[in-house]
Amino acid sequence: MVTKTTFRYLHTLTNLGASPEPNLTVLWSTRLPENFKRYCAKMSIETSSIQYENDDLMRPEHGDDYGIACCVSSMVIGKEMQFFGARANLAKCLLYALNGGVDEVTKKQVGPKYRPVVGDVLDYDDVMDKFIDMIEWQADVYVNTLNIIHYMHDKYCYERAEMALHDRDVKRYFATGVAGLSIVADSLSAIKYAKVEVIRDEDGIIVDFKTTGDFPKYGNDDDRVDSIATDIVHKFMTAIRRHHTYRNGIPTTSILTITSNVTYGKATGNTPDGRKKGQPFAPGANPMHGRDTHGAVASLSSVAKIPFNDAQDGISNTFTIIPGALGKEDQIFAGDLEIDLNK
Amino acid sequence: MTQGRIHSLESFGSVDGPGVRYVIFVQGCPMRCAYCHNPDTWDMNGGTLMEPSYLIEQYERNKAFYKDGGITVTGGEPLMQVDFLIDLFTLAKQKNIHTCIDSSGIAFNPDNAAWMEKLDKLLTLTDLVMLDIKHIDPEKHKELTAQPNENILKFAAYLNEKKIDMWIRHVVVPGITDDDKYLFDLGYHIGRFTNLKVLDILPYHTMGEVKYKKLGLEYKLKGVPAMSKDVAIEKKQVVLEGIRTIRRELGLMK
Repeated sequence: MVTKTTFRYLHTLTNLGASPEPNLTVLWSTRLPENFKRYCAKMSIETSSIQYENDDLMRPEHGDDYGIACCVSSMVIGKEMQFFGARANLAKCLLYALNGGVDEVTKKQVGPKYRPVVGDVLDYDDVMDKFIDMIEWQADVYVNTLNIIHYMHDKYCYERAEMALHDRDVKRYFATGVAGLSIVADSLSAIKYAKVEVIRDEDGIIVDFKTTGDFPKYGNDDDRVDSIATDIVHKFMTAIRRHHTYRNGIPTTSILTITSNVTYGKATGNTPDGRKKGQPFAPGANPMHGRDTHGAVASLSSVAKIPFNDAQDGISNTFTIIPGALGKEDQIFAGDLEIDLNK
Repeated sequence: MTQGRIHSLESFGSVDGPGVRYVIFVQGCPMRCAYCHNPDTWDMNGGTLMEPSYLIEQYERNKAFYKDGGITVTGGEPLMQVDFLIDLFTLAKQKNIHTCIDSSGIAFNPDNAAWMEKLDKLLTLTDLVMLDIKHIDPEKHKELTAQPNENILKFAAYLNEKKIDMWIRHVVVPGITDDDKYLFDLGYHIGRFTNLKVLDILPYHTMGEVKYKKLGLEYKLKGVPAMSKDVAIEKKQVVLEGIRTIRRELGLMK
């Protein structure tokens, strides 16, 4: 429902200015009133600080009295909460799978000592097998670390004030997250559709890749690679669901990094998609920078294929565009206006 | 089906016709406009061959985005590939898709009966032509684009005769196409066409220059500054005044 107060909320961007928190999220439905849509567009152009989430997708899950907590997490107001913590770096997990759990940067045995990849050319089925095994390990470590953190947090720092505002019987989500989805999708696509040779250092650890030939890249509405991305999200979520969660929280995951994708990138070595060591990941579920070459609709369509069921804590896409590309700039173009000769 | 020679595809075109549009950039153009910002589409032999059915499939996948838009074919010069356009638009019309051609008109050839027959067929499938007139003066046009403008202006008249909606686009470049006399003449010429729906006066920008460097081509407008938005708005008024003048003379308006 859109009321005058809905407009008032957005108008705070004009009279108070933008602030990092709380973020302003519009629950977007195709059936919103046209004038409200236009006002949202105007405020987005002026302030670049409105987040949009798909109301048509979330309303069946939450009913109509819900809001956005944290960054993108949808919660029924006063009835739901979440235990949240960090992200699983999927790109690093893939590199661990190749190197049998040895970290490609520190050269230490961090993960389990599974069999590393042998041979010089990566084989898709072989890599996928190893990757799924490593995801299972990663999910185990991740969930149990969060279990410890949230148990201890409740023990020593129970958030009484906030919980006082909730119902007695609160629904708890157990929110995980992933980073580096587009890198993993493109890397696996390169392995499947092009030829990826590994380059090992003096200790036999895979530290770089030589890719010959072209391969489909996530962000171009190409099912060949987009299906890899959705499959990985599903497999990760399945692995998460296998574990006991603190206070029986309902496991969810988000594909959301707004700034930490830079840090995850810094800590991660060369990846088979051609990304170099230390380079930032794309934010959230975004395609990697410059690889979505078919325009915004194709780019957004790739992201939209990721199933909400497997990423109920939110799928984030950071969208930047020059205002002129969003439509004709006023006055220069007549655009859809008829020529008005009487002015 | 005749395959198209395609340079690239843009799934979110918001300045190439009404609404949000699926934009197909074809490969190959005989014009050599000094300010062209897509010199990578000139080569007649480059690009990728694509089936019309593939392009329509791509459109249909995301048609929810295009409900007020449609398909625009630009380039390159679309009318160099009339057979492909006929096949593409035939499929588009089966799906009730709004069709638009963004053309310089250079390929228009009234003396070639076979070509004209094809064009007539194509126009029955076309909702809108955006015609980019580079310069109204024949000599200046040649200097700017290495081609005459005679057939381009004939094309505009032909579209009017066929009652195909037409948008006229004109790029204003400082010192080259911003002379008020010629802008007025442009308006005076196109004002007689009643199929003219929209006038786009586009300010010249320098974003294409980097492509010339990459292609190892000389950029003829090196040093020419971008046109400011404010001046472009004033220049549009000059063209509109030309349109009004001829329309008054012809009794098309009060």
